[in-house]
Amino acid sequence: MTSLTEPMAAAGVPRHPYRRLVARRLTILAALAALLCLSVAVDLSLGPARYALGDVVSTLLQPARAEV
Amino acid sequence: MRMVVWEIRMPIALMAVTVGACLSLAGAQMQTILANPLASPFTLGISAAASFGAALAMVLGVALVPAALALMVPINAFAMAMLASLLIFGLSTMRGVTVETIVLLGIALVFTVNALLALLQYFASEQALAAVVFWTMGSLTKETWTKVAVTALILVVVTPIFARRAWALTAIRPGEARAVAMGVPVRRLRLETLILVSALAAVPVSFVGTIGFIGIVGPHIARLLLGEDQRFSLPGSILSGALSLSATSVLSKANLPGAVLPIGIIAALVGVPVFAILIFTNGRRSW
Repeated sequence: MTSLTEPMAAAGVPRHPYRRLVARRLTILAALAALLCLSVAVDLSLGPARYALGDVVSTLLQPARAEV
Repeated sequence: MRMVVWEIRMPIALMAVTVGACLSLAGAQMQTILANPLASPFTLGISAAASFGAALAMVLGVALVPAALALMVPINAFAMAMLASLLIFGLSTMRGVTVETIVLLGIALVFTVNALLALLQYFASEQALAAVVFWTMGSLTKETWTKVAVTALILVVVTPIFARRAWALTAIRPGEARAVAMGVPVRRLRLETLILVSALAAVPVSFVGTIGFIGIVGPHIARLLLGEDQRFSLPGSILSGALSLSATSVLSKANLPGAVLPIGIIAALVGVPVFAILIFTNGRRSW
């Protein structure tokens, strides 16, 4: 018995184009969000006194342990 | 270090994020409802009106809301920005006014308000003139947690409203006639969106001054990457605007060690070539 998607696959049409499109767009949104987090961290490290990115991240994640 | 990062730099960094997000979202929805790729708070006169309101406070000491003298500059800027928005809104409700007319009225408003601003600058003292010029360049250096909270609140309130109307806002993009055929109340949607966009644009501009380019470049980056579907382009516009202004904030600090250049200048200087590269290398129509 032939499934409904077989003729489409044979014709070169992706099986789940909409699902793929949504996944691609969600990936782009996630990448933008990750870039934004990185940009904020770099922004926090810059100023009259420049800090290392690792120090800034540890200050953000564990403020109690950071130097005042 | 904790004090510097959390108390001094964090409000500035988060203000860049929230202002970028607000301006980009405002620009995206203005472009959608007015069917014009150049529509933004800057090109429709909202930013210029805010500058004029701030200049009224700095040059003449005029407080549009006398009860709040300490916050004279941002409140004047906000009041004038809302006044400009309401003017555009009022004119757009008149019979026979088309989308093109609204855009033209916005451009006329920009020229009128800029002329009034120049007149104020002509009569201003040296000190007031310097303050006005600095304000119109846009700056994030005086941000506080309160300002961040107010700007974020506007974003948090307005975004879900737009998200609920994502389908209708997507349907309006191919053309008003098609949207009407699909049952979208175009006129009401356009007016409601204009009100929300006005608040979204007026609040950040009143705090940070004129930052022109984000309202145009943010939505276009989102459209290039994610297409026209508002379910994706709406968060995309927010993220791309926030990222653009945050990256601009980084560049404004990285150029001269120890000095922070006005963010409005950097936004235009860096944004224009980046935007041009994006358009020419993408190969797709962004509009």
